[in-house]
Amino acid sequence: MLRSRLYTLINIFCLSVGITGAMLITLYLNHELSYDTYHEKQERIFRLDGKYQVGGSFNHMAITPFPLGPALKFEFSQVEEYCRIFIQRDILVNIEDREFLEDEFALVDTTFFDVFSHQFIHGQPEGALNEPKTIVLTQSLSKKYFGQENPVGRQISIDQQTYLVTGVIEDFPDNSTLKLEGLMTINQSEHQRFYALDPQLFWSINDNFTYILMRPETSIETVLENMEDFNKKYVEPIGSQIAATAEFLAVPLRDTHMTRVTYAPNPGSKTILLIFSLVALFLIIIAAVNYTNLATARASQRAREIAMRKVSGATRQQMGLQFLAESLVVAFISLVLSLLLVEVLLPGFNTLSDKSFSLGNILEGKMFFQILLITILTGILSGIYPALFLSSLEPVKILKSLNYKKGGSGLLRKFLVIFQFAISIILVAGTLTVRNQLNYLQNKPLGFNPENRLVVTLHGREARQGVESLEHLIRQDPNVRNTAKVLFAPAMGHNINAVKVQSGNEMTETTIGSNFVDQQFIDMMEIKIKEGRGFEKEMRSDAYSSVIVNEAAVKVYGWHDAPLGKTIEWQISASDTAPSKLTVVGVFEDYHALTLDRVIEPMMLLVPQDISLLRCIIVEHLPGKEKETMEFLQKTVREFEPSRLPNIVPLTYGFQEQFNAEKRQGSIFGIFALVCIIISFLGLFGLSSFLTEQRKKEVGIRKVLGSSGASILMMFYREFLLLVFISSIISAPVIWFVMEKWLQGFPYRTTMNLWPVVYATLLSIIIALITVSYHTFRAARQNPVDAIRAE
Amino acid sequence: MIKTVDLTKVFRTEEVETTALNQVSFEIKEGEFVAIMGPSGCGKSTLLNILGLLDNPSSGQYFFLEQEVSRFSERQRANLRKKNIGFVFQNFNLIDELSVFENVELPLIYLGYSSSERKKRVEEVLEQMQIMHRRNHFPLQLSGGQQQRVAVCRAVVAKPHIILADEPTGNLDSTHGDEVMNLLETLNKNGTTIIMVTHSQRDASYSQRIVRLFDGQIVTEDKTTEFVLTTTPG
Repeated sequence: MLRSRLYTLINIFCLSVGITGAMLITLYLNHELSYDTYHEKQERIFRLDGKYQVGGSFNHMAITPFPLGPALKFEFSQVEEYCRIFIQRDILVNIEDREFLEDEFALVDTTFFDVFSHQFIHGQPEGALNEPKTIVLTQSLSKKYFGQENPVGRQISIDQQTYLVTGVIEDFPDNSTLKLEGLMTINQSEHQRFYALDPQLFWSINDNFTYILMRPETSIETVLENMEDFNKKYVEPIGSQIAATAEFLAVPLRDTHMTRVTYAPNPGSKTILLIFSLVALFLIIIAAVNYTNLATARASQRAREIAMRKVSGATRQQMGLQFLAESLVVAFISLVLSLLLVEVLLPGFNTLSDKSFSLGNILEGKMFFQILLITILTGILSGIYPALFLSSLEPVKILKSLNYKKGGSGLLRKFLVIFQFAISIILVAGTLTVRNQLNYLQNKPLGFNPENRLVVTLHGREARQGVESLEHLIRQDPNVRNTAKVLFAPAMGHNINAVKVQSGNEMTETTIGSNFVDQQFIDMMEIKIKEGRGFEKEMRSDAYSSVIVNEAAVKVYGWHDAPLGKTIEWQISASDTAPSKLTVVGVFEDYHALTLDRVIEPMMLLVPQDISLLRCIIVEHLPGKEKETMEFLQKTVREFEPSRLPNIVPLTYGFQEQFNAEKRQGSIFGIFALVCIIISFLGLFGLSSFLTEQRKKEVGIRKVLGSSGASILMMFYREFLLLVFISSIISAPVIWFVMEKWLQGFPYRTTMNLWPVVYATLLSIIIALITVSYHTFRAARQNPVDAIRAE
Repeated sequence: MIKTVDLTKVFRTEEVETTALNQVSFEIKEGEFVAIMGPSGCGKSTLLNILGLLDNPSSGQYFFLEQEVSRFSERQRANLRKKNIGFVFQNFNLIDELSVFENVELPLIYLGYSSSERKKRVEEVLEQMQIMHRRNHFPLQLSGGQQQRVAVCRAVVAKPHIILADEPTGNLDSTHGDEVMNLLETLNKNGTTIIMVTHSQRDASYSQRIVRLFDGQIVTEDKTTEFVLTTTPG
């Protein structure tokens, strides 16, 4: 092993990189699969998801009606406990004169600590949330508010209500689907909006997560089997009024992270896990292929050693074991190097994956065994072919033949090289397709002009009532060009309403998205009116009686002939003051009101009578004046609503958030693709050194006969290029199939084409040429006299 | 046809400087058959490599077809070589991966012949050397004598002016050796100039003239009266 240094170095380096990649991916996979398993009762905990159908529209969501948990506990004795969780965003916390804006607060049932396991640092779980207006903080939040002090018994102000701190728990671990920082009791008096309504109505509003804890030795199936009767009793009475049905599903707690449904918190992706597992496998295989290739190529050099050992009495088995032992030793040396590499790479990997792994995670029990397994597998995979092939060489043939040159099956080597190139091309083309899709998402016209626009969101009811005077103040700034008001700014949420729409002479039940806007919204956002008109400032009568709908609505409701004048009726009146009948006065071009992972569905815009519904002010500023405008808005809004920290973001914020998540996965994928390529081409580098060495004599003869250096180069290039070309042809359908499948996960996607494969092939060709050039150049430049006399 | 003036070749390694050829001057006329003899290490092969345009001398002049070529680049030498010189080596130097036909065809490829012309020429020469029946075999499937015959085919297929043979019978038994020497003699009779390096007096007897080298210098010449000793010991 020590004799051929280049060979050993390449092998150890490639195997190290392969094992390192596989280790990091295993770390990531283990982490993804460990979500929520730290709860003692996790096997008995389920989250209830709902499949809701309203009219023709279908939604699968992680949120449920408010009374679901209590009703389940009431109806089924197998259900030991329930716990509901309402996520609360933009919570203003005041501690003495300091203030904080918190996003990770939740209202939870008093049963929270009976269901979930959390370690208390101060206080105790029993009764921690029993009293109204109590809160339990996480350790880091407690530190932020109170330093090292024990805050139990201290009071803090949350949205201008006084809460008592009753406990401090350890931070939610990294592998928790929910990462909350403050847990407040669901305080009934604070949620009067629910209790003021008909209790029946609760079943039509989904806005909280419901978890249930099953009794030991009971099965969730026994509950699910009886859900039909349950639905009949609870859901149908209101559902039938609005043509809605609901079906509830129970997701085991440890599966919730991998369940991708609407409003699922922090969802993982099974596809990504699958792709990453494949990449890890590829890394190991590619490194093992290098080993095999180099070993068989080098066989000619070792043939004599093998022959002599066999002559001295070694059996085939002994020789085979020797080769396996060699590859295992190399694999374990690589493992040591990998651990160093992991230590170096972890910070970068953590940033990329948004996790916080440490070397300690790798050396922990289960992971440690997995790594040993990976190493042994790599060693065996690398050594198996050399062990079988080299040990079978017959000593007499080797020793007699002065010209033993072939070094095993050139065909197998070609096959393996093709295999490596194919994987590299697949990964590069995959990365390029991901990039294409990301570019597509980034550049997709949204249907409105998102440039130079900021969104101010107001929270307090009082502030919202004064929204017009704030808007007036904002318009005074010389950098502000225009403003408009809206309930939901794009990508920040929406309402779905059960309605009846006119179809022919009948009214049919369906759903429609809705958003409240002011009269400037359409103009200011540069949304195009396709037919009819937008809202007009002078026509106060527009308020709540006229609507404009998008093209999707026209299409879905079959209004192609004449959409104007059609009527839409609310199924249930959200407020007594609103008329139940709306008339379509215009059609606007579809725009993305939600993030790009959601299809544009029928939607209507209407002007509210109650101006305080418009909680967002969209501010258009002069180009290049974002910073100044932002500062001005911070100041103005703060003065206007002193009890809150202003919430001001660019109009593209929501889209960008979604985009960043996709981008992160794209980057991880790209990096591992790069690693695969590096390993492949290092292997190719080693291989080309042996192949050119083997053909040294041939090159010499050809040169004597008058071949130019260039044609020698071409001779080598042609061979490698042929291999790349075959790889490219093999990888094209694979890429097509896999990426097409991946793209189907996006409602808005770039068109699949073969350019990524072409580019990946070109890239492979260029790198392959560079890689083999080093050796072939030397071979082509050699003095032919040396080669032909080398015998 | 070939003329050298004070041809000197010095090999340098880190420690040693070896003078392989020391101011060798001589001339070979068109149509001659010259044998170069001498003990191992006397510089025979070095001389042959320079004459064959495989290597450049360290100093001195080399006139090849009236052209001073001692400072030619590898590319220029390759061009001149492939048109004018055929090589026969002791160890045959056939390419194991190519068939007999393909081996013989190689020089024609580098000369840019069309494939039909190549086929015609290769078959002609294989026929002539009576190895046509082996055209699709690979070198390792042939006997040594057959391999050398293929090598001779390859050397003559492009109809070069000169054939350089480096111990052409060194790896052959006497029967096969005579066969190859007869081939060379026939070629010479048909007008090809032949320069052959050999240890064998028997092979040398086929030549018209023998040049003897010792320690990088020409010491005698036999058989002819034209040859004039021109080296001066340095």
